[in-house]
Amino acid sequence: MSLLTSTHSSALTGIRVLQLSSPKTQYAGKLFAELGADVILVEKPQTRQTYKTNEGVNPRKRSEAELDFEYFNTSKKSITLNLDSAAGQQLFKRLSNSCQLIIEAHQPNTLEMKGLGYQALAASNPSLVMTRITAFGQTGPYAQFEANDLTLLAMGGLLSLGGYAGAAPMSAWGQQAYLAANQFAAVASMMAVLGAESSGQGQQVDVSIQECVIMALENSVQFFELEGVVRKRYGGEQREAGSGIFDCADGQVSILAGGIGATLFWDNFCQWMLAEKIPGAEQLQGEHWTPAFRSTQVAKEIFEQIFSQYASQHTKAEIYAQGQARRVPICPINTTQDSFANKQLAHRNFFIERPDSEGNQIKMPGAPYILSETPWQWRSPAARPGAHNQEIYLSLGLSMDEINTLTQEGVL
Amino acid sequence: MNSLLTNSVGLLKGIRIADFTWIGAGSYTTKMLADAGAEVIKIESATRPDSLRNAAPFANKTPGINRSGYFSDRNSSKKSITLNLKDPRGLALAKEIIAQSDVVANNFAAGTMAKLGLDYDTVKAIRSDIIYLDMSMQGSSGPEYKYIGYGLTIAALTGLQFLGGLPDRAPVGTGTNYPDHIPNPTHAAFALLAALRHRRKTGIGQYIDMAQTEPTLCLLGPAFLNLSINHAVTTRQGNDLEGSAPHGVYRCAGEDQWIAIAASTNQAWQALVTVLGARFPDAWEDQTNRWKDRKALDEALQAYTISWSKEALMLALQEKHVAAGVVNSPAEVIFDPQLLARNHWRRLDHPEMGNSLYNAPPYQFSHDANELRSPAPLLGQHTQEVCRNLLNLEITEIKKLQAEGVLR
Repeated sequence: MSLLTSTHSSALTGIRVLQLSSPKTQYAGKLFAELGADVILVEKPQTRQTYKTNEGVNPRKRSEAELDFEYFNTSKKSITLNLDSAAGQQLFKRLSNSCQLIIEAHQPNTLEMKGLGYQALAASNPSLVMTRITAFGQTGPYAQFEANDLTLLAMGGLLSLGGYAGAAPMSAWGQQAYLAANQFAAVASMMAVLGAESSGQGQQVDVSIQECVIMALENSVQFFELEGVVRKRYGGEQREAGSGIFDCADGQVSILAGGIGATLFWDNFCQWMLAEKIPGAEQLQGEHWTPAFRSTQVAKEIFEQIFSQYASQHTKAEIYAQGQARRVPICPINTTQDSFANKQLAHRNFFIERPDSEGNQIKMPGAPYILSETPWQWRSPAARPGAHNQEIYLSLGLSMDEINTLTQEGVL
Repeated sequence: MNSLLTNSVGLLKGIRIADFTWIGAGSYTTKMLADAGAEVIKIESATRPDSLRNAAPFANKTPGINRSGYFSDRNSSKKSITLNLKDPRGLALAKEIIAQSDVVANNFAAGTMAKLGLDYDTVKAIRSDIIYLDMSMQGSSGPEYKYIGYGLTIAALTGLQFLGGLPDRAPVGTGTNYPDHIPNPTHAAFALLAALRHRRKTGIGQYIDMAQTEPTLCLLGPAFLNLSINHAVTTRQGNDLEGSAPHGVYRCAGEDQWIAIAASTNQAWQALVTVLGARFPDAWEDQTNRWKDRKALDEALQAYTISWSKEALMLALQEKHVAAGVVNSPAEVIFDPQLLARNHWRRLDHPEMGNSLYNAPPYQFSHDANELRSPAPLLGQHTQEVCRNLLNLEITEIKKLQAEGVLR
């Protein structure tokens, strides 16, 4: 697969992005890159170990951190640059003049101390958008607090809803606080770039990871505000009759038979259990199965007693097919292996096979959306650190000699 | 072209969206665009309103079509018009709105818009450069495209659910309809904005088909690489982060009070030990040993944290530059000093719910407004306004259509 061979046009052609490498910025960069922006990953020299490629003969076992980097940095170029050196700071300024968007995640005021804050960069590039993703935003009493993904899930409240009653709150898998911020930052950056393209006025976009996590609290804040109820975690329990995780013959399924708000799915579920001739299924019928009744212990026990008889005799794939055929909102609890075997995803060509940075052909998620005119496009594996130093720095007007000297001095 | 919002400001000023979205992910997508200045006309009907309007919590605990706090928070800055799309005149009015819109968005089950007579091909014939977003659960074609679900079941299908929780207990995921709140609305909004840029450059609109499973699957990329590269099926790991200890959530004084602490570097570990005034085995001076002994370490730590209030411990640890954060409940986030300083919580005066709490967007622009411009609309609140100002109908005509059940 060669790079950039598509005949389709790209939605974000002509946008050059400098993404300062961090788990807090990397998915935002990937979203831009794979809709056609020219994304340059800026890495600190000599911070990332690299390995000799072995052309797929016997792929090396990779750590979680390596897998993370490999996946979230596809389709980008990589340059190395030491922002602590005066020469590096000068170069960064020149680079920023050539781009439309910077996405960075330094602690507030860090770049200002290096002369690379928004004001300094905007002085020579007024249409620049500078998106700054930090734990708590640029301002406020906690702006300089230390944080990581787990502590931000905690302070954003999401942790309190995850896990088992009575046990410690439990985080979602895969740095979801950082990912939430990456996603909202991509949206806000895109809005600001659109604005800058029409008015010439760029701006700073201040993204708080804590606030991004707050957006995932569902109805729980309003529940407290309006009804005085503090939502708790209920992992492994039925939230109301017909809503929860149930064991089946080969794993678990997740069901929401009552739907959200007023829907007709409950009757579909009753008809299904009746058709399967599950003893006691007729108990599920009747006007008294209101949302209020469904939240009682009695209702939960009736549901569990009936549905478990069915579920324990069938695989998650069977239950999924049967339930959906009767229009019941039910799904299998899938593993990564199950997703690779999923027929619907196969139909959509969701998973793609491409080389990784060490030359092994690997299968991974592809397009998160299908755009008819400007398709999503994987462009290249994660680049080796500094792989594009020559190309980028030559285009800035540096000579090969200068590039070599700066490399020896540890600036590049 | 008329603008409904005479004081329209924001980055997306001038963009109009014919909004057929409802419930979770769809409504949130268009809300983000509305808060940023787009004119979003939410098209509902009295017989089939957004079902989130009937979902708790309700103002004064009194159910009502205009009283849901869940609905309100996801529909700020929008207009609501009711149209009976089963009446040809109602459908014609919807098409007239579409003809004057830049975007059509929906998250119905696949095939619903076609049944209504508003599928992409039909709409494209009305407005050739339209940007049309379908966001059904599993996409617009395929063997399982008609399957139905909510955020919770989507989390199950994608694997997010399986991956959350303790290895020896049931999978818990996030405990919420997570895909509805972040992955789906943000990806859909990003795709729409990219398509708007493309149209601005070329004059060409497009069709966007986003399955509500796929953004979440994309977020789980490293787990798929673990299978592809390491041939390993990723499983639940509680609050563990490979190689990092301590990294967990610890009980504090009081009922159900907790603190998250990440102090895996030697420097952070020393600071933590000092703050707690703790004595631990010498072996734990070493990071590798801490990871190896993490279960015993977590228990030993909790024996100290349990006598601290979570706030006091967080502040004491932050003083020493240790990453520590209180586990806020959904009630406590409303009073969080940082969120208050950021003006994250906004109070808007809703015609029926009164003074109500809303989330501000989690990003702030230095030069542009990104404000909640109005509370969630009452069902049909702007029907007359849209009919007059956008559709140029006379009052007598509007009255007639109302009497004949077209505008409900």
